[in-house]
Amino acid sequence: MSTRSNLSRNITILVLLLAAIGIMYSVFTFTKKDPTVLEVGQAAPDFQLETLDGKTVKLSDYRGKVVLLNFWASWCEPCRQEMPDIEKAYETYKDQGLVVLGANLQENNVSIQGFTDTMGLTFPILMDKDGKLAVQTYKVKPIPTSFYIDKDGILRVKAEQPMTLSFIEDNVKPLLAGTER
Amino acid sequence: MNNRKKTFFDAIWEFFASVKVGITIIVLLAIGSILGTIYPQTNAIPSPNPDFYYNDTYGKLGDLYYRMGLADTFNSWWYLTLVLMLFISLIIVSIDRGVPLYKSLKRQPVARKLIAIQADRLYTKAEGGDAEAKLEALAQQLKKRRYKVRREDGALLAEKGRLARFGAYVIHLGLIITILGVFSRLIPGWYYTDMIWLKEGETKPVGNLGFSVQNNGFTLEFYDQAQTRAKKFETDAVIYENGQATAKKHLAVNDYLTYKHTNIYQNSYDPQPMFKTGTIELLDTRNNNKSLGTFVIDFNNPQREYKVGDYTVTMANYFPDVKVDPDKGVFTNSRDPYNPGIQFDITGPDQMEPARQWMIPLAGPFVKQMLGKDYRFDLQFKDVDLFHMTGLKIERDLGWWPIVFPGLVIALCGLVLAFYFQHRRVWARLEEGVLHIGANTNKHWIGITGELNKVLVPLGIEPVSQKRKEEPQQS
Repeated sequence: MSTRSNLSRNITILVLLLAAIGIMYSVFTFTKKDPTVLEVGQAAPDFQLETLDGKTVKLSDYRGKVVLLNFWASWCEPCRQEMPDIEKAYETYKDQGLVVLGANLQENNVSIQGFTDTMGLTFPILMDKDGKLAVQTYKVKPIPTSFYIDKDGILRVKAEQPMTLSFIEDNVKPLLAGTER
Repeated sequence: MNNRKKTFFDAIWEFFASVKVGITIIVLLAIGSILGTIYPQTNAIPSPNPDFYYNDTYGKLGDLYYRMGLADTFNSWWYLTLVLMLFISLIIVSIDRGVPLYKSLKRQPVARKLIAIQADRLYTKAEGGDAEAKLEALAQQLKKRRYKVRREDGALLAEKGRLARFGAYVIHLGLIITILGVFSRLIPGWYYTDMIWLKEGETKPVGNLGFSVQNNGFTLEFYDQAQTRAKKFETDAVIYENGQATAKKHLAVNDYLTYKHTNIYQNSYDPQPMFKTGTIELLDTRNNNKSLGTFVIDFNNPQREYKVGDYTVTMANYFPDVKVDPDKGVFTNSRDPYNPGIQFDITGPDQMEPARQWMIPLAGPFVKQMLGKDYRFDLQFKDVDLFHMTGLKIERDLGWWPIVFPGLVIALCGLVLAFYFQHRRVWARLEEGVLHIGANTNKHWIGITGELNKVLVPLGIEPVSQKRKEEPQQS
């Protein structure tokens, strides 16, 4: 085998491998349809939405308070499981500065009203009618997903599982105390 | 040959040039593709929540299928890696064997060694004084049979169908082009596919292509009363761009709309109907089921309160897709009104304390019994409007016509070349007054034997017959 054909052979292999790596890389970035995920530590995106009882809520109005933003739907079983614990946490800590916002995914008002009445929920329910808040603004994948936002409006914790009261307390207490974790 | 040590590059080259490796890749791709067809892929399911869909629809096995990533086989890293390996293998194999074959056929000498001719599977000879004239006549006859005849003094090489030897490489070329076409989907804007499920009147944006599709009416007809065999299902689709209706078409199966190089197909429909609106009559059971009036519910977007004569009907609980479970209680399976369950509170002049009662139109007797009967009022549908969601397939593939399709045509031509065309060669050599004739083909020996004898017999040369010396060899 001559040196020349060895060289062109090596170049062929090199080009093919580079092309393969390039294609795999672009496949990887291509299939990752939503490259941006909300990461802990960044500022919580602001939003303004109507609540179930017809008020308008703006996230930035709660600066100075700790906000637990919970995305839920009544057809989601783990959401139903965690609801009583969220309510308990809200009742316990609301006087200390905890705000709970329950963002409902695209359900009709009557169903939500029935659900909150049955569950005895007292925190405000956000009506994410077109799903924009969940899908575009907060990039929520599974539900329930909860975000803990500190007094300065920074995302501190992201929980993608049903939460227990103790889990909520563990996350809320340091934020209410204002101590960095 | 030198005795250089094998380098990294040599190892890679030999790996991909190996037929065994090539076949292994193809077999693995076939197995992967088969696995990918067991259950529908994520882009073809009537649910935005594959996390739940596979478990709910196909049970534990479906859940396993989804978790193993098989629900998205054709975009998985391992599948694409196999395709790329096949791509590399095809190129390297073609260079490794196609180029030497091309060169050797191009450089083949007209005057072949006598021993080689005599060793041909088809061989004959002619002796006598007129051998030279016979050689000349042979050349003329073979030319007539569209052989390319080359001559050197006392020697002849007639050849036809050399391209047939490259059939396999034409297939390779076609496949290489096809794979390139498939990967052209990675160019931003070249490829998009999705399933869109639309309720009646609903409009949804198509990915980030910049337009929306609206379902302006869906019709479904069946062949039979039992509604088991769908006759036709069609959607009046309207395209909106920047708030303007820019295109519309009555979509039917195989009758699709092309908008901005994007095809919109009527693909399927949700077999389970949803409730749209219903007119409900309120009856007084204490008064001979006297009608107290009617009200209309929009199941997708209901009001909370309805006035029916002197009575007020309030929807205290509304489960669009109700499930009554002895352990988990009453809840909804989805936000879509497949199976509405409503808990009403009814008040009126003679009913100050709200009478709470269920209405679940599709509930079986068991559920009805569980939730209680002996209600003060009766609620009956006077009229109900059901609808089916339409399933539209959206597909944009800019690489299909210019790249993938020609690639497949080339591969098909290669198949025809490889299977139905032969490379035939005839050598003749005049040596010491004897004309030696040998012939070779890469397949279909009977054909060349017959063809050669049609030439040889009129020239008074002994016909050839196949010597069973060894298996035919490709050179």
